[in-house]
Amino acid sequence: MAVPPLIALEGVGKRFDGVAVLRDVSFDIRSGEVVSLCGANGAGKSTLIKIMTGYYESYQGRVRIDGTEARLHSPSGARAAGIDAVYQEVDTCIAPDLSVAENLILYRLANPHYPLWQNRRRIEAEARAIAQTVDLRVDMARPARLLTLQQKQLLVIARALAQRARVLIFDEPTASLSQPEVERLFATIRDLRNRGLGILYVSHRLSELLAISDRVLVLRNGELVQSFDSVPTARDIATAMLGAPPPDDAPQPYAHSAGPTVLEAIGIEVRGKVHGVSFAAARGEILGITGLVGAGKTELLRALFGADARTAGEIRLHGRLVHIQRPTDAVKNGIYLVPEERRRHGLFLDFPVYKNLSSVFLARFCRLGVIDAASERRGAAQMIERLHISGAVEGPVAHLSGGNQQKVVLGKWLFGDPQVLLLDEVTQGVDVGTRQEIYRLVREMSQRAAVLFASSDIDEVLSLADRLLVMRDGRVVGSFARGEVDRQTILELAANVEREMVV
Amino acid sequence: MTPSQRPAQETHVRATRDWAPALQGLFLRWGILAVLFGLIVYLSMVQPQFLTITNWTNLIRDMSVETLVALAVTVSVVVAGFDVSVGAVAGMAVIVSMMAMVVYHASAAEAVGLSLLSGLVIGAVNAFLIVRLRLPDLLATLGMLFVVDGVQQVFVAGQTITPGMTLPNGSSATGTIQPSFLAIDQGRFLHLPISIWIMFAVAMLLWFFLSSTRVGRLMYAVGSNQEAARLSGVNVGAYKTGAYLLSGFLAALGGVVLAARIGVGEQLAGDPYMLNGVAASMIGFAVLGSGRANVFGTFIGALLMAVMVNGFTMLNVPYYTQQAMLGAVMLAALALSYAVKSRG
Repeated sequence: MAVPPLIALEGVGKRFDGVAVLRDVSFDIRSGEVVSLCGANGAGKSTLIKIMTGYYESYQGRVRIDGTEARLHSPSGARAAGIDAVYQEVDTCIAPDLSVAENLILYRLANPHYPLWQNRRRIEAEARAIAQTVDLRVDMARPARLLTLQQKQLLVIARALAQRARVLIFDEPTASLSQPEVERLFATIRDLRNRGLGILYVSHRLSELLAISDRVLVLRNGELVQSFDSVPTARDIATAMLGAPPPDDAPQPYAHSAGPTVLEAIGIEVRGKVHGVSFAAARGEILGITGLVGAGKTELLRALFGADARTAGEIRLHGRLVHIQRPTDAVKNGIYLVPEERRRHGLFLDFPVYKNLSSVFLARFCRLGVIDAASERRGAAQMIERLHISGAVEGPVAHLSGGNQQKVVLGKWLFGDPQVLLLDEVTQGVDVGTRQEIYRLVREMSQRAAVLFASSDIDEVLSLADRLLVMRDGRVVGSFARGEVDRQTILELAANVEREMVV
Repeated sequence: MTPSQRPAQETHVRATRDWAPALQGLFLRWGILAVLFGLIVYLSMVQPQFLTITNWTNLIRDMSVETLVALAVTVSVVVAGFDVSVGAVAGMAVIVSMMAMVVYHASAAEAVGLSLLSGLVIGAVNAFLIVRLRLPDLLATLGMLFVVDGVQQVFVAGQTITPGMTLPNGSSATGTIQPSFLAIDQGRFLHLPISIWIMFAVAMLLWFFLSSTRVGRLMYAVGSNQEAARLSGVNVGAYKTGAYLLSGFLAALGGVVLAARIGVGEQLAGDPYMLNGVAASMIGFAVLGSGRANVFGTFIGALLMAVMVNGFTMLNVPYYTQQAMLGAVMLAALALSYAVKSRG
């Protein structure tokens, strides 16, 4: 008989309140294999990951490890079976105030048989050995919160390895990583694969999937609709995810004519983050801003919005100097920000969708300060229809998928009269279909307002922006019109520290 | 593994899961109201005097101070703050109103006005500590609790304020407590004590304000996610300040009703109302499964506690056991409201 696969799922499913969110999923992963999982928002990826990591007490079907059924009814059960995960929000699995060493041996500390008396030196020695397995070189005594995102990921991977994990799930691990960091993560993943682990890699970024995986699985509406045994093309995957060929791979090249200049930023400074950034943006154009994570894009947008204090620089709107000290001032002037972290900064998670939509321009739905409930509901319903917001739109916004939540954040600003739209990583964690809708919406909005589109996804900026700025270390290091520059040049410019380019 | 047993177990689990959430949902939504209703039915059956107009008039009148103080807590919790100085503020209002009349010959209206003003001033200090100095809400208002209690003791210098009391300079106080002031609790309008009218009017107004006005909605927004509110252009500091001013005002109003009830300026008279107010507000989270501070829930919480105290007293339950029972009810309610939250 052949060797059984490392892990095999047989007819795995999950129902909530009688509704099946995942149906009859069967696949296996062999030792030394990277299998990718993709699907649109709401396809059931998270549910599947949660089942595999023992988040739910019950599920349908069975999971075998080395041919024996594993009982994944608790996180510790899943870990005992050899399954562990590295999540996008890696902070959720780290105790921020404990040291790196303590975090590395956290599971062992949690073991009731671990000695009560802790010897710091022994813990650190033990932890150092674990850290070496993934080449994590940091001071073991530092509080874990001071690590970079990538170091935190390595910490979680090392911890899993120390628990003899055999199947590692990566859930959107690159969402906040810069390009070089992604390369380094991929090297680690390949190394894990060569050591015989089975990897399940989950991501929205098709180009990454293609680069790292041996096989690709596609979920749609809770079912496994396709399993590619060799690496397919991005278009094949998108077709399988959407159930139909994608409308177009990239937004149509756009014959635009930039209108009057709307926004002029002159010498914007934010202490330690943004250094003397100047540019102008016109109505009718999308100004892309790209650069690595940490290049200062977010800080620049937040400073323009008054969310963080500017240490110098002025902002002109339609040629007039405007005083923007707080977000309130920006909103009054028609400068709107869609923040990077939509759950933490963009949404009232316990509010229903309609209350989120009406929150910014509530006065529009009020008479003498009293909310006109009918008009509020009507306005929200129109916006829900206009943006094709789908899912449980009656319930709290927390229950919507990421893409739909992002539409809600965009939608709440569309009740206003935007002059400048500051969009920060608006497609992060958003599926291919919704992404296209957002691109179209952004294009549409650029007719009314100057749009600043910040993203560390260079391809996205290249295909969408009419002009683009490249940022590095808080400075603008390149400025190009559409078609003037290619991906490679931008990447070099964004990453290069030796060659200073003055623009 | 025993394959023959697995499917049976699976079906069993699934069958339980189908009706359990629905029942659970019903319980979470109606639990508190069902307990309240059950308690009323039980007390009506075992105590004929319980379900009488006289008893209920007394019961609701008794709860008016608690309710006003609880609404003060509720307003602060709406903006994700926490005002524990409310009891001290109510006590301050008792002292201020009585001193105004007895020592400074103030009219009833002046006494009420000064008391409410003192509430607003304390609310403003709370807001300053929290919004400007960025102290955590609980710590700032806890500190103010001590300060305000201390100031009361300084004002009265260990005495109880009554007409004819000896003043620190040796003379006697010559003012009187105005009958029109005492009428706030002891007088009647359309057969009901005026304090009941005040409580209902304030509760209705506050309910309308929080649930139907723009400012009320934005207070909830600030409480839901302060940073998202700020990035939506909401002046978060102003809304928090407003909430603490309102909280101070409502607590002082509770103190005015209390002063009219006890008729003397006793120091620290408001302190016991803080814990009851917090309890009523927290029980309110669980009413109708709202999962957040709300006026109707707070009212039901206060009513539940009033019914318990009233009923226990009628049943001759020793007073010294009542607090433990109230505590148990509050914990049960909290368990309910947190279950609501974790269900989302």
